[in-house]
Amino acid sequence: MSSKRFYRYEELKAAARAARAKLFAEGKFRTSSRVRKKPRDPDDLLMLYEKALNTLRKYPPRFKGESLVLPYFRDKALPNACERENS
Amino acid sequence: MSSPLLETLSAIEDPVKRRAFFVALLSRRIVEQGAPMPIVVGDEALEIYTQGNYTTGDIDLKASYDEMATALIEMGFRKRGRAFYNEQLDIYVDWLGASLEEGDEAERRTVIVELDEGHCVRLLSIEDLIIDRLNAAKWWKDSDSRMWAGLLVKIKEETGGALDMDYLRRRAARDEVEDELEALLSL
Repeated sequence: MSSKRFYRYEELKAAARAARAKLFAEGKFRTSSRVRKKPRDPDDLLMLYEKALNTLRKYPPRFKGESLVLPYFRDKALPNACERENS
Repeated sequence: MSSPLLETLSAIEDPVKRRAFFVALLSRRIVEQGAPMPIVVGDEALEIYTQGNYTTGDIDLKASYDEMATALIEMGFRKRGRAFYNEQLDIYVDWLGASLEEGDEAERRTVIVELDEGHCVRLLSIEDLIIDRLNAAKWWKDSDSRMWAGLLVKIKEETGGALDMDYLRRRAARDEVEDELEALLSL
């Protein structure tokens, strides 16, 4: 029996990716077929809804011409793929 | 696709952003090949509209198959049936056909979302996604979907736009989810 009780996040992330790759190769990885049937606890669902509303207030969507802008994706505090794409 | 670009994408820690920017780059490659911009549907569309509050593990796309497959293979994806997976990016793409089952009108109503300068994705309209969630609630017994449908109503309000009630009711009638829609609108 494994005695390992402490993992770094990166270790778990790598293990999860490897597991998904293996499942995909075996044709067993089909997330879209996993429809959630068990409803969440109503309080959990309400909390999730409130969290989403907070995001909506923090990052209010707006139209710029014909396009919808979702400011969350422009948050400069987080890495931005676009700025580095051509570097 | 060049490996620096893959590295850039895989360096994005936030998986919501990583998936969204990946779709934008994939869309660009598909359009460069002369095909229409792919349409993000289902859970990934909800993930983008909710700016990450709903999370999913895969990307459901409506796209011209040949151009999409070419672009994904260039990006180092492995193919299995209609699905593609890239371990480095940890992104799974499921091809759901070339056009929307919802019809031409739904295609005309798709929304272009600008993630950042020059990086755009095309999403199923909010009205069509609401109907999609109501279908999930009624026919797949996914009751949580009612909450997400309600949130989409709020998102539409927040954009300053009004829901197209006539279209919503027509779509609801066609999918036999009028009861779900009326319950949603009465909240």
